[in-house]
Amino acid sequence: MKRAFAPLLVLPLVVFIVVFLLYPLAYLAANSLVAGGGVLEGRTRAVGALTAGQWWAGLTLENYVKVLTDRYFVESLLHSVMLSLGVAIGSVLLCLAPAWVLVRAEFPGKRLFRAILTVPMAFSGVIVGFMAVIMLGRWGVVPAFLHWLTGEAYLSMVAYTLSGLVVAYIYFEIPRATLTLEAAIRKFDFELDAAARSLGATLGQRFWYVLVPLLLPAIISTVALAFAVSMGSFGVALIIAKKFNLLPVDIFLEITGYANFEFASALCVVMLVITLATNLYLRRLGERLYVFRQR
Amino acid sequence: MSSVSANATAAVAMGRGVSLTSISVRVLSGVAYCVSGLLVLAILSPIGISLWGGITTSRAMGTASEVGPGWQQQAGKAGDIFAERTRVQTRYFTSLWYRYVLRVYGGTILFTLELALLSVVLTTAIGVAASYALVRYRFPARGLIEEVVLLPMSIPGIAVAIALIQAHRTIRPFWYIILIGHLLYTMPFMLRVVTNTLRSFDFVALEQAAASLGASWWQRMRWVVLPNLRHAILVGSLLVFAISLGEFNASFLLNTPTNQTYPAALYDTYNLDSFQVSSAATTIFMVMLLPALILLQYIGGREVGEAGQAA
Repeated sequence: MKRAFAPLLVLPLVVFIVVFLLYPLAYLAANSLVAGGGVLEGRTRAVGALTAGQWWAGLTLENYVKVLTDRYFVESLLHSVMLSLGVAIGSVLLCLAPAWVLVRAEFPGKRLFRAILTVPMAFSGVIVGFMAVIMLGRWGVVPAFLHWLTGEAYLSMVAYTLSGLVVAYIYFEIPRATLTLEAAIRKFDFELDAAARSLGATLGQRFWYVLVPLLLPAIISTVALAFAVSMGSFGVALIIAKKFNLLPVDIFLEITGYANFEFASALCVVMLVITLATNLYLRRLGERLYVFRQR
Repeated sequence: MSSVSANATAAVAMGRGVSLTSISVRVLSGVAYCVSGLLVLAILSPIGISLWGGITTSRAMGTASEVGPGWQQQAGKAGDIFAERTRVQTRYFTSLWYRYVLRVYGGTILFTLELALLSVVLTTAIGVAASYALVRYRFPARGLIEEVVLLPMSIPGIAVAIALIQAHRTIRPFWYIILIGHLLYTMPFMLRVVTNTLRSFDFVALEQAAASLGASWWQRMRWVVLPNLRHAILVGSLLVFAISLGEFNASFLLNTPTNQTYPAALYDTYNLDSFQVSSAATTIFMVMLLPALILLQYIGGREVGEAGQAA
């Protein structure tokens, strides 16, 4: 094979990505700019059956105005952001412990311990939702246990609240967060910690001024991932978010309930912008910190 | 990795010198162990309960109902299994729920396995060639291509599904639109694992050495590059397989009336069927996933961690 043709090896992938990712996303953005149809308005038409001329004539920001002013959707947006933040913070705090244990401790069954921690990685969201119901539902394991212990079924129905969703998504995040933090702790130079100690730093100071700054890139990466997953993975929410509204579930209902593809597209674009902007910002932050560390 | 020096420092830090600090270090590691133990318990207990729920009857459970509305809907398909239900009520354990799931949702299990295998084959064919070209050669938009391929890792599956449905409405009724969704969401993992490996050693020098000995392009591929990528391709394939099996976000809306993936079937059982049937269905999913997870555990810790990190 001639060297000039060798880069063509990448061609199948490029064609695939352009046809099935970039073009559809562009189409999504374009379609979000025409007035919403849907069965409620009696304006249903075949999905995407719009000529370029009709599209140009029908151009409007109506859908976006509705997303950003309608109280229901603003609330969904806030719920989704709150959920993502809760999951991000919770998974970092909880998973520091097993990551630390994996690096610093030697014990029989460590391999099994790591294997168990990575199990939820490949579960689908629906399964995690089901498990949240098993554990924290109306008569879940935890309330049943607390009932046996205290005579009162505490934590019953928690699965269906925002905190229940946060717990379920953290379950989902455990493997990724642990593996990321573990890799960072493994790279951590414990000589630095010893140096700080010999200079008289307290445990809190060593944690806050030595360990945390050096782990920050990994923490940021975990937060970014948690944010992306809890924004996007709607399997969990579909099973348990029955009491309050969340952005991905709203999108799903717009499609399955009202066939309002134009408005659903606008919701999707808003969600994409939020996730991508957050992701980009966190990545920049991580890179800046990395440069700072190199100095 | 300076594990020796790290251990030595740890020995100093946790050494016999009695001070307030070493006590708090012990308290802290105690907390770390407790949290880890709780996490393990939290991961294992719902799995254990699904295992148990899948084989018991309401008599053993002490709960009211064994059948949901889904059971009635499926009465035609379930046939004799449906009739058997009254007989198991006197027993504690039964395989009835498993037989029901396999009978009613067996097709979706096969379809999901087919999709996963096809995803492995296609991501390997397309992804490995592209990874090689991306790392080996300099051409315009090289970095951009990689970024865009990794994009699905950080964008919601439902948005991609809705975009696909609208942009390609002619292929909407066919099963391969689901495969396309799976490929979009598995390709980043294959690409990541393979490009990481390619960047971790100087394969260009190896290739040049082979070329100087007169090896043709094909010979260099066959005997130099691919053998070095064997491990990465294996890890990537296992990741792709596992992710494809559990993919729900994108494929749920891409499903057609006749072609449903198993996670979507799981969603149906959770909504329509009893706890026992749902448990049996969940256990079947975990059994499908288990071989890939065990193999991943044994052959690739590092790559899995790297691939799992945010794009």
